Amino acid sequence: MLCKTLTAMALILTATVSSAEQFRLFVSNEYGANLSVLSSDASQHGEIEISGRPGDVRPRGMALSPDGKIVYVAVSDFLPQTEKPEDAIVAIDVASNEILRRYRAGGNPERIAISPDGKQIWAALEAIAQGVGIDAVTGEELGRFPTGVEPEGVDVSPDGRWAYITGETSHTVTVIDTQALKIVTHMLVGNRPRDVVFSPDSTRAYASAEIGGTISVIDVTQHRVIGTISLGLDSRPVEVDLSPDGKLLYVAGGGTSAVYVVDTEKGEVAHVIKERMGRRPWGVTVSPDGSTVYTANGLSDSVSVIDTACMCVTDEIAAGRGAHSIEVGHVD
Amino acid sequence: MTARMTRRSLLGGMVVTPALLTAAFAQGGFDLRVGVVLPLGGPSRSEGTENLEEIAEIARQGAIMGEEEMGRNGALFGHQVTLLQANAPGAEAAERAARRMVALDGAQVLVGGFSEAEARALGKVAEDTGILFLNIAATSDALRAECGSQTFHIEASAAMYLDALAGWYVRAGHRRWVILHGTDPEGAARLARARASLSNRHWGAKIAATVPVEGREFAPALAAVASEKPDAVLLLTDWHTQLDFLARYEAEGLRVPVAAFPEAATQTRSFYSAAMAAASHAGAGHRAALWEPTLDAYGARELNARAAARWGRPLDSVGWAAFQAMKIAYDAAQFGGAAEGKAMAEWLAREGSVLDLHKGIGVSFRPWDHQLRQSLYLVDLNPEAGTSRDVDAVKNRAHLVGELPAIYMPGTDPVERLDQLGDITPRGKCE
Repeated sequence: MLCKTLTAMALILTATVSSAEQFRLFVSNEYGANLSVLSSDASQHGEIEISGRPGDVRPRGMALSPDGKIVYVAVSDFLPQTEKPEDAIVAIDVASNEILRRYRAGGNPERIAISPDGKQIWAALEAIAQGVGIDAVTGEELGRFPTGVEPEGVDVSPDGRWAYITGETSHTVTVIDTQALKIVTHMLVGNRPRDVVFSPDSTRAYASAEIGGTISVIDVTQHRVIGTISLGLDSRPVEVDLSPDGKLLYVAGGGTSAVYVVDTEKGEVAHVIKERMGRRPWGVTVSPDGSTVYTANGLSDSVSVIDTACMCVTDEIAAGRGAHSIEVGHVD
Repeated sequence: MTARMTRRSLLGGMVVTPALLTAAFAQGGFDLRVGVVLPLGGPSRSEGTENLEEIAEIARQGAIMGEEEMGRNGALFGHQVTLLQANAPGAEAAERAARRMVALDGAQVLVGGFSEAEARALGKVAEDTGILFLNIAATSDALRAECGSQTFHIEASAAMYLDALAGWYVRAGHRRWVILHGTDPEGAARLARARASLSNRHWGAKIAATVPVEGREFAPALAAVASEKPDAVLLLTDWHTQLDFLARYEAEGLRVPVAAFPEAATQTRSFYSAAMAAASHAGAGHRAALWEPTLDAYGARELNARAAARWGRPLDSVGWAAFQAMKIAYDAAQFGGAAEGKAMAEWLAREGSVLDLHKGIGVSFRPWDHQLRQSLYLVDLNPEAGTSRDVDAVKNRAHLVGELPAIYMPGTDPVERLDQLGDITPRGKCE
């Protein structure tokens, strides 16, 4: 029944979004139990229903397949101690907006990442303090690994060797060897690390710390924190994303309604974007050409559009209730 | 690994502790041992004000959950976290139990303080032995003014609660007050600080009368409320007297809202239910709280859900405080460099040390009086909640309606924001 509903919704969206478009924005709406789908020029939009139980079922973290044609969504509910069928990772075809499959994830997946070959899905299981690797082809679980309590951020290095998972209450990043499927080490980073992202060359990773107001710079070759960039005690950084060349790190400052732009070479804040920013930007993503940054704003239920030429907000687009994360899918 | 404190286990502990320590440090980890001193009492406990069994049990559950979660975090680095428990009602028993825990079981941290006297006794043990004491339930401002170098207050001070109550009620239009207070030193101190809150901090608030409450003699207080016709009554007595007063107040047909002092025993779903049973109108108003199970943001949702699943009851304030005591101790050991009292205290007292206690903002202890800076919550009791013991129904006995200071204030200094509540003692007084 649910699949039929989703298919029907997808058909509506296919009809409403122009076939000539190249990219499409997907926004997970935590309180709406749906995704907003926006054309890249924001001229058209639709919805994909994830569950008929808004307020109970929460789509949150998202990730793209390497070719950008599949968007994966971490779905859980507000009963974190009980695994329900809706605790899953949902794969959606970007071009058709159809649900391709659902992967059982375990306890409350919050954020996810896809390996560069597209064969592995990694998820942070918030309720049970574990990370999980899943075979994207077979759906089989590759392994579960202990993390700090309340794991959240997850990323896989572009060279495919490592999965990093943050632990919010332990102030840690757990390092998993994705080929040997074993834990390499745990690193202490800033206070309440929310998210982590690797540089394009896999030599660096950046972990945001919401309560610490910092970005930990990690030397991936040694799995060691080599620097800390302060954004200010009250910056409350959450999701992070890098420009395609890795030179700029965009940090969603959820509790401060700002986006911090970090020059990764200098290790310092280059811009703070506040004017016209939506409220509580939680998710942040960079367009493939680096010209535009989008934020998912949880309190204003919107997407802010940032032009990276001026580092200014140029537009705000309505999304659904409790916009959490945003990804740019590739239609072609 | 929770340790029950018996003579046998104590003696056993003397033998195994060094071995455990060696093993832990061989892996590069620390062995953190936290003793929680609880006034659980026994079968012959009294039924009055001194009976704090319920909040002691809630605190015990919070501490156990803290031990479990910090143990899980510690396992990542080879650290070990052990909770020691003692049942010791009253200050003298608490002090004896604490000294045993330190001397025989190697506790580096004490958690407790269910009254001013108990907190003072445990603070003294901490000062004498160089371990850390985390106060989770005593509000007395006098304790803060004593400036114990090893004592840190997770519980909000009376001044913080009174400032928060005054802030909420005065802004809601309640300007004329009758204040009812206990006659012991703590009652007098609360009265003095309430005067300061209403007179100094809130322009336009007036105190129409103050009335001491002796035992269960409520007639003068009721008469004062009836004659003065204030906008609100501020009830500063202990939790047990609050319940008795509310019942009499309601029976007299008085309808003026009652703002009651939120000592730890009043911040439970059971107390809310009892207050509404005693006085369906006056007992069902707004209350201040250190924590609220319906708080739904900042990771609070997840913490509340874990606690409810673990214990089948919502996480009441003192349970939150005990849980966070374990987390604070763990963080202090981790970032202070050792599970050692002085090192942990030094780290906690440092200006730059920031803690994440699920309130959505980095919090810290004031370096001078060691009071935790934090937001407090205003909750609205729900008389329609019914008497079901189902966890959701119990949670539904109240819901969150306010936060003070509001943490979502971009552009302001977070430390100054949190320091809006309570006394900002001149630093020199404690240094």
